[in-house]
Amino acid sequence: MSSEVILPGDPIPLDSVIGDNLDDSDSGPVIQLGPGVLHIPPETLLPIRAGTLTTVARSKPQKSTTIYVDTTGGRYVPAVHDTILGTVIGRFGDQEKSFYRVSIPGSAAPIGILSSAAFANAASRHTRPNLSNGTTVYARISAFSIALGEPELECFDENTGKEGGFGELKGGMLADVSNGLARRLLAPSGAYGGPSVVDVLGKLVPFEIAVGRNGRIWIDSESCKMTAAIITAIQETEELPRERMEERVQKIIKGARKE
Amino acid sequence: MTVLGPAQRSPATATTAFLYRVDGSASWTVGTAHIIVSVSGPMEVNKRDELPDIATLEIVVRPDVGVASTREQFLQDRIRRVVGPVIALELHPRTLIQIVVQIVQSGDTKTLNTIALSASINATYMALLDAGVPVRSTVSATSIVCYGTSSIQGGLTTGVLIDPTRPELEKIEKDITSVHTIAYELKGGQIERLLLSESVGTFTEDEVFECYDTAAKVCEETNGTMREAVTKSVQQKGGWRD
Repeated sequence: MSSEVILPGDPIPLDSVIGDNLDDSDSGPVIQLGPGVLHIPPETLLPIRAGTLTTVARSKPQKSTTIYVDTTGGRYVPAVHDTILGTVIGRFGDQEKSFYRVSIPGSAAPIGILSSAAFANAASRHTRPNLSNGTTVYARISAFSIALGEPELECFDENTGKEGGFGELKGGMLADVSNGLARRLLAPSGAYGGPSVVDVLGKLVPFEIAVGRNGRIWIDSESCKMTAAIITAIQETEELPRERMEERVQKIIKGARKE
Repeated sequence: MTVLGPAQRSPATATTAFLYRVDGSASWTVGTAHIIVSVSGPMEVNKRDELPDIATLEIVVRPDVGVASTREQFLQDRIRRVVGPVIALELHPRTLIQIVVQIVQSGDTKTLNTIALSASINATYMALLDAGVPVRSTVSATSIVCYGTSSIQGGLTTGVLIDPTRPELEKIEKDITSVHTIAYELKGGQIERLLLSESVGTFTEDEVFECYDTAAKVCEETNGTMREAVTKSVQQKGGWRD
């Protein structure tokens, strides 16, 4: 993985980006484009955001290079499979078929639709959850197109069909983080070459976390004070290098224990 | 051939990401002018303003003193003409991108309307970058003020001020012959095309072309300032990578 700061309209140095990550065949290089790069046919690649130009070389199933511009800020634009944290703000439909209106804070499309049948074990009307207004839900976007408007939400694991942590979140506390941090918190452990803030916190104190791609996190732990400390630890260490992050997290948690 | 006299220039500074309740913000200072811009979006758009194939671009200019008047309307229109074609609006159809330009200090004299415009364009562009709104290239703008003073001895001294401060402007206000606000689109730090040429006063063809050339050089420099500010901001936000 390599990275450099790039501005919109800058030329992307394709030769150095791809390097020797080429298949032996005579065909051209395989490039996958991520967010922030626009393809103008036939072969112009145009960065359209300012950020870190990041390239990832892959060797399976064929040799290919992923190019994207990594940014921290900006507004969240919904995408299918993203997990979000929202709040129930209304209900419509009849007894047989009802839907919840879910507010998705910080999103380009601010209201999602959650069917009461889109829960695990919701086959029968009697086993469906009854959510009141103000309930925090952890949901996944199952369908969305910016041209069609409201995102459709689901509250079950798409692979197993089971609950999988989705649905109503009881207790705990919600907090805002940047878009980039939400993405990082969702990445598998060690994706950035070392322990993440969640790994460090997990060694110090038991807690539950839910991360929404819309820049929201939900935390629950042994006490309100500890929950607040964990939120502070996550928010404050966003821009710190790993060593300083670890120090700071330990200090904050220790401080919360002492009081 | 040098039609215009020697050019002077005040340096510019930029800061980004200092407002917390919007998606992107930037502040641009040049000479005595100071502009703050916030950008929000793409977000939900009023049904009446919704466009089916592209994003709606809303630009609001707030004056330093008093309420918005025709002057602000003029600025809104010119800023739209410059940044509109550069933003990839078609990537976010049926949404709203809202730009709010707050003039803190316009830097213009009462009769002029150029420093605030060029500074607003630069500030707006920086805020768009900070908000992560998709744009196709970079934009820089500059103000060029030409003046001619006739001395008692009968000689004529002509000069050019680039992005001048207000005291500088006031000193030569009576002798200003023409004022040019010029914006360029740049790609990779190189001039790509002219986006705005707003000229007021009396000038010859040679003079205006010379102004374009001078502005091109200044815009390349300004672009460097922007690149520095963006690089700094990106590196600070990416501090966790170290």
